[in-house]
Amino acid sequence: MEKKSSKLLEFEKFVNEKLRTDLKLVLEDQDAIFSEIAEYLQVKDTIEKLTDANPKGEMKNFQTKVDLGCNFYANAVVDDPSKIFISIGFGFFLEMKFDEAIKFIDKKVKLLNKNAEDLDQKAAEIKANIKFVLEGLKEMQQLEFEGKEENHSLFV
Amino acid sequence: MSQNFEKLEHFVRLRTEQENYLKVCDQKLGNWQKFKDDYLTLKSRLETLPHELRYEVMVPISKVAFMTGRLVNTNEILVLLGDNWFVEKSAKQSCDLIDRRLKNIEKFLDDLHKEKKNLQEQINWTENLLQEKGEYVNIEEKLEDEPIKQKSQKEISEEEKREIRRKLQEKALQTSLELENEIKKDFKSLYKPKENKIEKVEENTEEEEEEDVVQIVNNGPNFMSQLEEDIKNLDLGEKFDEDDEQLRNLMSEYDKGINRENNKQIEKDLKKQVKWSNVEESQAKKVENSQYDEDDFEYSESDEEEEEEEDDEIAEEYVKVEPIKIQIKHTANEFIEEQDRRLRLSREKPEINSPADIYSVFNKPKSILKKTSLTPIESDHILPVEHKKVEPKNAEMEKFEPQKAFTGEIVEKNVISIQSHDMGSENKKPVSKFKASKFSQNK
Repeated sequence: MEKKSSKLLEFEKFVNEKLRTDLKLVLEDQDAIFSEIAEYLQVKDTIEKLTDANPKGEMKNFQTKVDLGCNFYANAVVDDPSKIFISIGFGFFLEMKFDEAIKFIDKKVKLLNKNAEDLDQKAAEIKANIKFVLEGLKEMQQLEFEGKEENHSLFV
Repeated sequence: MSQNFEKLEHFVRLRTEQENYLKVCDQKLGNWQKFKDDYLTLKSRLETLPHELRYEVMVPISKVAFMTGRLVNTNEILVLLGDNWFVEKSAKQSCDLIDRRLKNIEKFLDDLHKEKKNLQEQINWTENLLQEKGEYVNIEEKLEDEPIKQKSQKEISEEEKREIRRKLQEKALQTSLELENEIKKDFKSLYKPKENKIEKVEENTEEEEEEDVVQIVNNGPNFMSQLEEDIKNLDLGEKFDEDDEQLRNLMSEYDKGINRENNKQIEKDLKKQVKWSNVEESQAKKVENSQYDEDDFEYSESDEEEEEEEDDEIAEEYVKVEPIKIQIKHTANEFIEEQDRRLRLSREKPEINSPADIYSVFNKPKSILKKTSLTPIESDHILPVEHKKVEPKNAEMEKFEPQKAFTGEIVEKNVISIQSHDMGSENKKPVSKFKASKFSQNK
């Protein structure tokens, strides 16, 4: 009986400490990927707007604001509004033209979405595991309880 | 509760919780520290920003993209105040704004540091406690039997007390009637020298009072046995004599003891006297008495006052007719107070469950002395009722009836509880069998 209860405790510990933390980590990763996707989409949006505003590439420069930190903005002027540096991963940035950048961003977003889906799958698996263990625990306790009740009915 | 509180694991848990909270506190502290650092770097940047006209920078589009560009109009800063309200400021003004914000941040940081310090102390405390707990073992002894014994003793004494009180009440009633008659006779034959008898009584009471004072001081744990002996000696057929007086005093004193009032109080009350020798003096005393009553009990003052007024009248008559000194001492004040208290209780709940309750409902004896002062109309009104109710019952009947009523209630409760218990077990049985059969079927 004691062995059984200690086993139950072990299972509970496993669920709470291993599976739940795993799930948390996976979900955090997923969140990070989604926010990255959002960043890329924002860049894409900006590029599209710039091309809309300047379809023939006549514009020499455009004004913008730079965040200095803590929402203090300073004025800035972009001299070459046809090229953009984009992060390609591992801290590398590559200078691209707008059409190239849009292609790159599409690919990147696709990749990121795939990653996110993988993580989604992983999270679902972990959730399933948690549910499985919990059901198992429930069954074990139920059996234990019923056994007790049987004994009880014998004596009453 | 206390046992659980003593357990070691609870303190371990407390410590872990405290450590968790400390972590939260550290996190908050880190956040605010980060804000502070951000503002400080921003301030240093803003201070140096207007030094140059333009800076070659990479203009960030978002986190993942930037474009080449330059900062222009370096003394023109757009500041977000919050809620999407922006304000245009110079670099200097922005610096001032940052200073103001830094003050606020400092305040938060201070508070958090204080909180952390407090928490650290708490953790140290639990740590010490845990160490002590590990080193020493608490020795616990359970006290279960003795309180129960004491309780049963108390219950017995309570019942005994009731018995004694009832007897005493009856006695007091009889004696009061006798005294009343005597005094009436005396009143009628004014010039006959029968006052000697009253004086005798008074002397007796005085002596006994002195005895009482001694008893109060000396009475200890053997008081109960003494009381029991006195109860044995008590005979309903006897007239009002010294023994009864003594017993009554004992009783009152015992009541005092139950109420945990100190001996000083008893002595003080015993010394309370009613003197009718001097009208003014007596009035003064009465005022005092009535005040005392008002303070201690919310008893109907009007009744008392009426009686007292009547007392006055009679006393005055005495004075007018013949200046004889009648000193009657009010020894058993506590007993009367006890009666009053019971009377009040009975008024709130005027059910008559036992003959003893009849007294509390119909009988309102203040004292023997005050009883005599009742006007004939009032006394006729009240007393016959008492006689009717009381006299048909002999002592044995009274002994048993209240007990019957009392035990009857308890038995009823037990019956209900037992029945419910039986019902529960009966309900359980079929369910468990059913389940068992179901279980076997599944197998």
